[in-house]
Amino acid sequence: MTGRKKRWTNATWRVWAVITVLGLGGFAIVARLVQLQILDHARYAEAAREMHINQETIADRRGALLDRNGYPLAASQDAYNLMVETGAWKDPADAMYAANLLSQATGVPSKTMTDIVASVDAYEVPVAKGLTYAQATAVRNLRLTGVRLLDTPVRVYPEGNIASQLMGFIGYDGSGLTGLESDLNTVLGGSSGTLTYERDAAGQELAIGDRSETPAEPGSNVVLTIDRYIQQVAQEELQKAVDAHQASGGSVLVVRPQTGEILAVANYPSFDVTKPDLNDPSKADTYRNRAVTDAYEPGSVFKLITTAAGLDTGTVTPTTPWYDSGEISFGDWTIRNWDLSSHGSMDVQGMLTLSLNTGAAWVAQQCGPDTFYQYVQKFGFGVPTGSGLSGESAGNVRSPDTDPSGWSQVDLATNSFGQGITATPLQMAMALGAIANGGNLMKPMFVKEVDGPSGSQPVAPEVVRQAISPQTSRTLLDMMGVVADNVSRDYLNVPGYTVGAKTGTAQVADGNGGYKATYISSFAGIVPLESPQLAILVKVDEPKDVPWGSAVAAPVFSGISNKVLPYLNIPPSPPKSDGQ
Amino acid sequence: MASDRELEGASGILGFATLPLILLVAAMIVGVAALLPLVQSSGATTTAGDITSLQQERDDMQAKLEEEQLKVAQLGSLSAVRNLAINKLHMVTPDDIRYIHVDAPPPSADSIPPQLAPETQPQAQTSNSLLDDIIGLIP
Repeated sequence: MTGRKKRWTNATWRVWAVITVLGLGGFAIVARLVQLQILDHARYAEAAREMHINQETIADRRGALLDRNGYPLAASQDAYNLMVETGAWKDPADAMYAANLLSQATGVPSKTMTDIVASVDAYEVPVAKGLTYAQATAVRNLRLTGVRLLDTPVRVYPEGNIASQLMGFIGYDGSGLTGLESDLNTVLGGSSGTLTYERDAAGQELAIGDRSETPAEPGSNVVLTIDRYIQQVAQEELQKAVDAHQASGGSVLVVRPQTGEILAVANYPSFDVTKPDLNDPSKADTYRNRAVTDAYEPGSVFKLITTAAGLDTGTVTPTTPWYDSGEISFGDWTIRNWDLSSHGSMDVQGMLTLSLNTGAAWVAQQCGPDTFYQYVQKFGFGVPTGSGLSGESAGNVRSPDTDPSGWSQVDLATNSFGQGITATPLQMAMALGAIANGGNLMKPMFVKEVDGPSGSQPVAPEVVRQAISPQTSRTLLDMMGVVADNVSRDYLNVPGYTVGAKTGTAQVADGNGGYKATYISSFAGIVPLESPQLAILVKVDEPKDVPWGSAVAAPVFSGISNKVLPYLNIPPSPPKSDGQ
Repeated sequence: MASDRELEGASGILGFATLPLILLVAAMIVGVAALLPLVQSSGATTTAGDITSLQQERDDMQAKLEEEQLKVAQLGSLSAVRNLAINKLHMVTPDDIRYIHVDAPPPSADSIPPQLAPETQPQAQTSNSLLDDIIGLIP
């Protein structure tokens, strides 16, 4: 009995020991399960999700930039980069096998692809870029492990290199970097969406797996006011003049006076928008739209503003007499005419026709500084035009109000003929448009319409202010007609149409308060004069042979007008009554 | 006795004779029930495959359409038009443009000869009302 009891006791001890061990083991397992399933659930669930759930950012097509007639100037085309995980191609045999298959699908040599992967110490590397949709589909059908396609749409330019600074270009990430591509990036780019799906071991989407998609919103198409033909003509004529006179550059703006629409904006030197070289810093200077960003001293073209102020206030009329002694003195400063001559008894029309500095200074003095600068402001100088383009310059207008200590009477005199005052070509072109538009200064329009998923949004023309009265506008146009009649037909020749014009030849400021021995030749023209349809500003920088605006810039105006007027079906002017 | 036979009969229906049947039916139900998800899954897979295939087809057609649209844009570009005009049609830029001023008003809209004018639809005959007919009879 005692022996049995002892055995029982030993057995009980062993049973309890086993139970205890099992119990502890069970408890440890339960505790571990609690840790895994409850305490660390979120972490492991996320890790598991990452292993079999793929989330991609999807972007819809970037909107196109169209000319005013709907011709695409810049549009996006599907293209793909072929990405390879370097780890998947560690084994040379596997790499060569996959590369051979990919080579058949893409046309890229297999050795090139394997060399790229072998030479890079990164998780993933592109082995082929810019694949077409058909090539991408062929790659996708191979279902190779460690290989994926990255959607990288490319921008194509059906019209070639046109309005490059205005349009700008996009970066590798598809975002606009310069020009309208940058300024309208949110409009053109739309919004991105997300695609979440379950994937298999090869990374391919499971047919019956979970899938959710937040669709991307496509970008809007932007219809510009630019006309592709007028733009190309403007570019060609400007380049012709720059080459002929070995100039350093130039700008041309063609404006619809009634609406403020910019039909063409050309700058030279330019860059090739179809293949911008971002690695060459020396090209960066050509990216900016200098007709909008760079201010210059407009020279004698500005006499139009001075004359407008005199006429509109009733201070002078075209026949108001004045005496040209050839110079006017202001303290230590003496203002002389461009030809250093004196013309004796003159009138205001003569001042404008012969472009006499002394006459412009006299008109400005008759108006007085307050009135003169009031009209300078009315024509939009000294403030940005509100074009919406980035980097727009306001120009520099010094007046008794803005610079009471530095401004003097000589500034009034020099400003009257466009020296000591700066403006952008866009400001000058819009002021010219105001003269042609019954005195109404319009806001420049580069965008005509935005066509997006929610419909079409036309941009309405906007009057900034009435700068001068319609009567003053008509009088000034007639005076410009007389000026144009006095420009040699060798330079200004637009058969069938009457033209209003003003030439300009301005010295270039050296940045130290003086002037360089170089000039800016410019020409402001309005056509047809009886019913203005186009206002054209031409500016040619630093021509080497002759500096005169009539000789250098007027032919550009003629070249553009002779091609564009028939193109726009603008009827020729009726013959003059004197039989001319 | 009758009661025993009834019990026998009952056991014949519910007992040994019916148990395999019940098991068989139950097994079949379970089998069918097990097949249902498989059928559903198969159907879902087929549908998903069809959707993917259709999506692929849609994407293919969309990509082709966009490629064609770009080709059209490139064929209509100024450089292409100029190239065609100069090299194929042998067109040249005129040396001189002359405008002839005609001192007369523009042609009016009805100057189109009648034989060239677009045909107009004959107007439907409108019948007068009885009252109008009666009024018309009054001298």
